[in-house]
Parts: sequence; C-alpha cells; structure tokens
Amino acid sequence: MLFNSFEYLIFLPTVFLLYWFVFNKHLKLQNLFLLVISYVFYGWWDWRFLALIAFSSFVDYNIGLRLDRTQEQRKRKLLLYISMLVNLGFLGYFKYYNFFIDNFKLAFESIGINMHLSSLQIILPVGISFYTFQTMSYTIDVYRKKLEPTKNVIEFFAYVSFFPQLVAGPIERAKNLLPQFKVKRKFSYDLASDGMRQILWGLFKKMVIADNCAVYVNQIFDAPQDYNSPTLILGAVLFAFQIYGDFSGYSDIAIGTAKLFGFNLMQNFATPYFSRDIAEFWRRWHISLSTWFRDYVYIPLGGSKGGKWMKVRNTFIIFLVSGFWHGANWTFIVWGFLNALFFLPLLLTNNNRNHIDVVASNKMLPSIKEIFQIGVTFVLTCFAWIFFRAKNMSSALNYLQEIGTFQSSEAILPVKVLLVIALMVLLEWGHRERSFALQYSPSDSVIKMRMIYAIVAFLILTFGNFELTEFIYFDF
Amino acid sequence: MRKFLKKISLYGFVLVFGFYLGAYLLSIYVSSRDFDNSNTKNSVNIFPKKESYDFAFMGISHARIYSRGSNYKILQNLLDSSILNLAKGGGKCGLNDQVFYLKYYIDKDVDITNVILVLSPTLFLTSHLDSATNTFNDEPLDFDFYMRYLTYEAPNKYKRLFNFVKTKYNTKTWITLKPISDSRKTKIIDSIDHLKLKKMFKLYYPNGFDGINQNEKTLMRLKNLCDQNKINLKIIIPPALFGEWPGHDLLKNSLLKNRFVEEVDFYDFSNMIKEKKYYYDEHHLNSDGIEYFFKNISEKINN
Repeated sequence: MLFNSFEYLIFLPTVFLLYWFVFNKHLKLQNLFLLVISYVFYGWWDWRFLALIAFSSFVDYNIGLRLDRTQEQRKRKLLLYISMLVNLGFLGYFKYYNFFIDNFKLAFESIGINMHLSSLQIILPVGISFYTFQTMSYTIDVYRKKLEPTKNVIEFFAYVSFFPQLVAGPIERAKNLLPQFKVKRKFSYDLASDGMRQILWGLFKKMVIADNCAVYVNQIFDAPQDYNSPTLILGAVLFAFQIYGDFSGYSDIAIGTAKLFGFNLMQNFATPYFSRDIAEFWRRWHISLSTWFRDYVYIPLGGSKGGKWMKVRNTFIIFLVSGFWHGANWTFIVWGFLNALFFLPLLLTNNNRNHIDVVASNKMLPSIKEIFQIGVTFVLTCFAWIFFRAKNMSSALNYLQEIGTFQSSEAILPVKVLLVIALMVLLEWGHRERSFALQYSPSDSVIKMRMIYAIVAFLILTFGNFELTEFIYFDF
Repeated sequence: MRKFLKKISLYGFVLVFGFYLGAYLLSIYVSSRDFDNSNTKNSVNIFPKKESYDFAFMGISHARIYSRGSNYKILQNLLDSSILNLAKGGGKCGLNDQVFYLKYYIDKDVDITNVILVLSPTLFLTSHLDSATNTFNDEPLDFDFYMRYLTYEAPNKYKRLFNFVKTKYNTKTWITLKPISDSRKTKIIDSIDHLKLKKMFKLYYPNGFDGINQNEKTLMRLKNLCDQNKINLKIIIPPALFGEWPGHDLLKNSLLKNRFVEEVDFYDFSNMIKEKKYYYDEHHLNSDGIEYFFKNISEKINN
C-alpha cells in the first residue's frame, strides 16, 4: 500500500480510530493490532512475502533469546552468524543473485569461456533491505550485550513489521523502537498534531516536488542527446530534488504516521542540501542508514582510529557497501565510490567534523563563504546523482559526455516546478533548526503557520501528482 | 482526542470546500469567454445549449473536427440543420462517457432528433479511452454534471472526478482557455508517414483490442437510450487516407454479430476518400475534406 494512494487514505483513519477507540485498553491488544495491520499493509502489495518477514522475525527473535541464555563466546558467535546468514542470504538471493550471475558470466566471456548460468525471474520483495537491517541490528546489539532481548514475541514481530517504516525506513534501532512497544501508548494531542504536520510536509515533498520533477527528469535522462547542456545540468539538479523529495517525503510520512500511533521514530533527513561539505551531507542524508553502517560496519572495522591506509580502506568499504545496498548495479557502486572520493580528503585532513551545527545558526542568511561551500557540496552531490539515476554505466557516461558537447538542441525550463522547489527550499531554510519545515514552535505566529499549512495543502491538491508513483526507495 | 478529531475534520472540510469553490469560480470566469460549439477545441459543457438540435455528433477527434473553426458552419449549411457536437478529441473520451454526455443533455431537456456516432475503430476496439483521467480537463465544473457522473457507472470514476476539479487550477489548459479561431483548416498532408503510423497505432491500441466486449454493451445502451427518446441513431466509420484501420474487421464483425447493421443505419466510409488534398494528416479531414465528405453523405444521413 502506498502512502499517497486512495487505499491509504481509507486505511490510515480507519486503523487510527480502531487503535485509539477499540484496541487501547491493553498494551498487548495495542501491539497485536499493530502487528495485524502492519501485515495487512505489507500484504496489500504481495501477501506471499509476508512469510519472509515472519521467518526473518522468527529467526532473530529466537536467536536473541538463545544469545541471552548462552555465555559461551563460540556459541554466541555461531548464533550471530546464523542470523547474518539467514538475513543476508535472503537479501543476497532476492536482490543480488542476478547481478552476480550476470557479472560472473561477463567476466568469463571476456576470457572466452561461456558459462551456462541463467538469471532468475525474481521479484524483489519491497522493503527487504530495510527490515533486514532492522532485525540484524537487534541481533548484533543483543550479541554485543548492548540490548536485553525481548521475550515477548508479539512485541518483537510488531517492531520488525511496524507499518509506517516497514518498506522504506527509517531503519529503526531496536534500542529506540522496541522499548516503545513495551509501554502502553496514550494519545497525545501535541504529538498527533505534530504527526499530521509532518505527514502534510511529506506529501508535499513527494507529490508536489518529487513527482513533478520526475516528469522532466525521466524525459531528460531518457534522451539526453535531445537536450542542450544547461537542460542536462538542470536534469541532474531536478533529480537531486526528486530523490530528496521522494525519500525524505516518505520518511516524513512514516515518522508522522508513527506519531499518530504514539511512537517516535528517528529523524532521517536534516536539510542535507544546506550542508557545507560532503561529511556534513552524510550526517544529514538518510541518517538511519548512515549511522547503521557507522555502528555495524565502520566502527567494527576500526573506523578512523587506525593509520592512513586503514582510514582510506574503511572509507571506501563503507561507501561502496552503501552504494551496493541501494541496488545491484554498477551505477550505485560508482555513486558510492564518488562519495568516498569526495569524503576522503576531509577525513585525511581531519576536517570531516568541521560542520556539526546547523548552517548560519541564529542568522537569517548564510555568509558568502557558506553559500560557496553549500554550492560546491551541492554540485558534487548532483554529479554523483547522475550515476545513481542512470540506467547503467554507459548511460551515465553518455549523459556526462552530452553535457560537455555544448550543442544547441532542445531546452526545457519547468518554471512551475522550479517555483515549488524554491518554496520548499525557502521553508526548509527558514525552519532548518527544526526536524521538519512545518514543525510548529511556540515562537511562531499561529496565523502565519496556518497560512503556510493552507498553502502547502492547497498546492498538494492543485499541483500534486496523483498518478500513484511508487517511492524510489521501494526498489532498494 | 476529541479536540484533535474536531480540528482535523474542520481543516479537512475547509480545505475541500475551498478546493471546490475555487474550481467553481474559475469555471465561471473561463466560461464567460463567449464560447460556442464552433470555437471550442474539446469542451462540450462550456457553451449554452439550444432547446433542440437536428443532429448530435458523438465520437473522438474524427468527429470533433466537424465543428472546429469554420467546419461547424460548413456542416450546418450542408445539412441545413442545427448541430451539437458532443465528440471529444485528444484521446479524452471513450464511448461510455460519450453516452453519459448524451444522456446528460437528454435529461436536461435538450431535444435531439438524430445522433451520428462516428465510430472510429480506435474508439470501439480499445478500453483505455474509457478510463482516461483527462476527460473533463476542458469542462467547467458544474455540480449537476459532477453529481450525475458520481452515480454513473464508469471505470476510474473517482480519480477522473478529482482531476475534473483539479484541472480547473491549471493555468495552461484551463485558466487561459480561449475560443479558437474560426478560420478554415487548409493544411494538406504531404505523404503518408508509415513509420509515424506504426507508432500511432501502438499508441492508439496500447493493450491491443481489449475494448470490444465492453463497447458492445455500451453500444447497446446507446441504442436503447436513443430508442427510449425516439432519436434516430446512425453509425458511421469515418474515412482515413490509409483506408481501413487495424482491427477494422473486428469492428464490423462485432456490429454484424449484434445485428446493429440491421437495426441501425450503418455506413462504412473508411475507403471513401483517398486523396491527400482532403486530409491534414493521415486520418483527419481538413475543411475541404469535410465539405467534400458531407456533400457526398448528406443525403444518407439526412434520411
């Protein structure tokens, strides 16, 4: 079920009312209801893959309990490996099997050996990369003794399948989300209102920004040879806003929905395009995934504590794995590689933590230097996005080549889309110290905020794309 | 909780009310621009209707062109009759919606003597036109029309009704909509572009011939509607420079099978005009073509 679909428009208020009016008597009932509706939500797409989530949850739930009972290190390690094998095995089979087979065949063909291996017709289960990482974080934390395993099977299954963030994150840590299933939720007017505002902002970013950008992005990326250089550059910029609107929009709707049910999910985006360098960008973009890789891959590898070579190695590993997580395609790996290249100079010169605070904090406008820094970071990001968006490596290189030809061909200038992007940027800039642009603060003028909500809602209705486009990150 | 639900309901109501009200006011604003049947491109509801018409044309672009610009006058003079064109071009309206338009005007006491259904094969053989979301893009928001459509059986109905309202805020297609010029369409096609035709057929039949069963039933409903209101129904297949469309036989067989050919006046003009000078593209007549066509068929359809 898509957040921007008619079905969800019926689903959300129905389950909201049932949750607070019928199933609010006991904690167990609340959790059981959440589990059932989460499975309905996911099964709406394809019920067959529910078995996969259920099995993954079953394995990690049991391994968590066994880890708690076992003190012998060798056995504990074995249990951890079983969990990894099951989770990464599913992920590898559904997401990466064909990629490896195809590349294996290509590699052998290049030396004249024909391998008779055939690709499989596999459907990628929606959200598999997200819930797999979520369950794995639970087992790893229990293994590291940073988390007490839960003994309540409903709680655990509900935690893994919690519908707002099941298919595209934020990838919640058990440490944050699981304890919230242990306490009976009470309705909070402020939290629910905040959730509604966040859903509104998420819908705006998805339906007004991302889906309208997508029309032009698809047109430009499908036939780059037809357009002149400025249009191709604009295509990359529009994609930067498309992917931001799409993914951060999804996250906002997810977090907002969770708030309606009394849950707090972690912030996943923090105005990443106002970053002054790539390191800051990665602290602000897809925060739940970046911190996951930091905690479960980068730090165990030694992080930035070792020598120069170790830093270089670890940086490349983390970015390449992050790229590969997005999809089984060389374009994602190159995207990760480029980001590693942009990040490395900052790390090696110890400048990777220069910008921890919000840009131009307590000021209306950034300084000239900050504008320049933000501009450079944005250009680097857009350059890498070209690889992310391209269908394959040759398309990406062709796109870059076409930008460089400066031939006068067709131009596109989507004025309305640029205007709504400008509105989004203005609102995010004005409220960049908040977790989302429409968040209400007691210092705000009520009339001003209501006007903003009305404009945003009206733009969704009049300029939003209602053609039911899937969220890009459903494919990851 | 009550406070939250109250506020959400209030905001939701104000938003939806404002959305409809704005669309309605914009409809009034645009409709005030002196539209009539000859100067609208695809709008049917935008101009005031007479009490009675001798002919109502139904169909897609092949019928719509009969009233665009000076063609409307040409036709009125040749047939010596009053004409209402209900057809819609631009892939916007399937047969099911055409029947709805006719029924709507009959219910509004518009008296119609003859209905000419210009049954282009692409209109009959495919289903996608009946679920197109742009059907009402060029129509002013009229709550009576809206409410009647709400109770009408049509695929993709809610989405289309939502788009009906939403498109009233579109600056390009609605707010700036103006009457078109009444000059003759003099453009003449150079030659048949077979590559273009191949692409066009793919576009016109995106899912093959998937609309036959549904449209057979719709034709029957149309026939019944005409019978009930004592309207003469005539069906014509319009001419095309390339002659017969893909699926032409399927269309004819279907009409034969359902005895339409026996019970309704049916004329196949597919191969009637093969001269380029009468077309502005491969299957649309220019003004000379329309004049020539109706000179030749006026007797048949006037009977």
